[in-house]
Amino acid sequence: MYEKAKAIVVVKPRCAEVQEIPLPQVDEQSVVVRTTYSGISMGTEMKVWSGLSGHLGGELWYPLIPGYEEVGEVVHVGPKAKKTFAGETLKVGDRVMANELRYFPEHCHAWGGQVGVAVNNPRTSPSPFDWPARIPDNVSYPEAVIAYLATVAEKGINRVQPKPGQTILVIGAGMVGVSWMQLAKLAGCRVIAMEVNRKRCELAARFCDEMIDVHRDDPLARLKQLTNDKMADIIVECSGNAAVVTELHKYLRDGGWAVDEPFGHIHLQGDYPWPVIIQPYQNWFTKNMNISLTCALRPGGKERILQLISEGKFDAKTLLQSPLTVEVPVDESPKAYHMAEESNKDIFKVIFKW
Amino acid sequence: MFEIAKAVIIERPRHAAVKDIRLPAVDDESIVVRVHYSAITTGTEIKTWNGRTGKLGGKLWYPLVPGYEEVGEVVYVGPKAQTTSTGETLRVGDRVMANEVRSYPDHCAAWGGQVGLAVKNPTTAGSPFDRPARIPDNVPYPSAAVAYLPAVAKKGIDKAGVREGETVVVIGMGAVGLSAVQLCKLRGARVIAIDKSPWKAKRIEKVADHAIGCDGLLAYEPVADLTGGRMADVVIECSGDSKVVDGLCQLVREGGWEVGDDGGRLHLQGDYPDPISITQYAQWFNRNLRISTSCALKAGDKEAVLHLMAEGKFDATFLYDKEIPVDQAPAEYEELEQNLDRRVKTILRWT
Repeated sequence: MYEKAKAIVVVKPRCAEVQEIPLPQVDEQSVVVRTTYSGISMGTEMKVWSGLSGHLGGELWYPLIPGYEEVGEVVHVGPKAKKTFAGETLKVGDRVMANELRYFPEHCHAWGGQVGVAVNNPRTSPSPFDWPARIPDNVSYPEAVIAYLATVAEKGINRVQPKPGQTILVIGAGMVGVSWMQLAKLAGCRVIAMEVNRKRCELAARFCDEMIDVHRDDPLARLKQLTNDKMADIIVECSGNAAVVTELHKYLRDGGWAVDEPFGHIHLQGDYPWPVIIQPYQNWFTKNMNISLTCALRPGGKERILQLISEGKFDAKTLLQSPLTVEVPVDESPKAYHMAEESNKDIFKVIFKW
Repeated sequence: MFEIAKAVIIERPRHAAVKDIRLPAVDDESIVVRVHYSAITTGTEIKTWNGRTGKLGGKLWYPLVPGYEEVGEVVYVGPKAQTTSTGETLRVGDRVMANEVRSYPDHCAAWGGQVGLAVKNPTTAGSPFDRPARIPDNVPYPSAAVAYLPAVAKKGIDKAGVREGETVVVIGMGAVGLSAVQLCKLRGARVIAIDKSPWKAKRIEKVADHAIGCDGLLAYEPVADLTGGRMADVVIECSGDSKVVDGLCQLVREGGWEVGDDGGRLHLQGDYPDPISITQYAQWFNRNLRISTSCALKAGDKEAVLHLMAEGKFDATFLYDKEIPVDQAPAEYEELEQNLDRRVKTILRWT
């Protein structure tokens, strides 16, 4: 009954097609979701489309099923299916975030979400954070699509644990960066943002306290001015550009010298397909900084973001209604990847209707 | 009265001499220490000797007064002198760790410790962690001379948050690494010590749970064998070799995925004059790593290490292997550089 489904297949770098593909087997532990909407993740997913991701330790090959931002309606719940992280038993008809599927019989999964029928079971969704999450009634499907990258930022902020009043510099105003801005504001922080793309700057302006206009100002001098020479307590790198990482130490506060004196923290939120170079190291370690890295999301993260959207505390609507977000039927997805790349970041998000 | 003193001077890279130099002015806030012993740091200090340290943001020039591991007797306490960082008032005759002297009239201070008279005041030693620390009576001068780098290691271990029962890999068995091994053992961790010199690894065999003589870049297999493939909770990099850093993520355990597991940690304890390149970033961020850096030491760390030595819990004799009169110091830099695989540290006797 759920043996085949429509999927986006990246046949080789820069070449996507919509094809019928064989699905993982539906067993007693499976929850099957009929996809209603999905999205292109503009960082990682575009890199598997363009071939820039690299070998991922030998786990990346073509043809592959890309994506992980898909949502839909539960159409089958096996008798031994797991509960959600929140402890709910899923029922047919429930609206859920489905996300990564880490196994397909004939395709590489990287990460398997662009598929019309998502078969979730312990083989395809082995980790607690992989399991579907129920979408609250007042959260729309497209909002739940873009909730995924907000959960990635949520794992990051949970790692960094900023304190109210701290100044956070968010670099890169893609979906992860804009999510960081919103979550940092909720945590009581002062948020300063930096982004090269002018349209993304306009979109992000409403989520931060100050935006550094890199086309007008010297960013270092501007940050110095905004922070009375102290610089940022925390830097969150969301541009995914490895060359940016090399410069980050300049934007970070000094500290960690006196007993209990706070020190700076750099959180790297991108995937960086190119080498990250730290030099001169003397300028890094003489700030006694901490650096953290997080990958994907944590168990419970999806539920937390959906709850924040439901309570009106996380604004997904503005992001969806922005002219930088485009919605296209899934059958037009092969062209949409090209369009996203050619837009040079003028497109913030592509949503597919299934 | 305290205007000129003997000092080790590095006149230009690879040229050291012992000379009389002009001292910083002794004011009401000064404490003056007559140095009895100092030590040569084989990491940072050798790099100021051979020129590999680089520009330090424009703060390094020649001729310079190197070093920061010196101890001696207090010979002058100004009426407005500060207390130690633990609140003790120093008196003439006290035995102290003196350490950095960050200003000289005619020389670069990098970091000014190889001097017969250490003038400590807010100009030469402005931070609380720069102040002299009193040496307990039962700790001899040579031990106190080498107590500085254990304090550096302690700042790092505190930052990385090493806990009882954790598996810690320490790479590089110079004085910082040897100290990190001992301090992690005191915290109840299981410690795997690694040095590319088998001789250096062997020296710490009795203290570490395991000591491996191999290059840090090749440590994956032995660490996997010892941990059943789980790898380390914490890796502390003390070799100072930036090439080693690129491979370190492999030595850190997987983690950061489940509720309650914050993942593994990596602490960079070296100074790395060459660029650190993280070439396989996917392997790093798939581990949800926490990386910490620390520079020098914190106020109170010197006292804490001296206290451990006084209680017999920290063995300072691991940290040096030779003692010479200070006048022989100029040739000793080269000797250490050439023989780092079977040398640890040289102590200089000043009196």
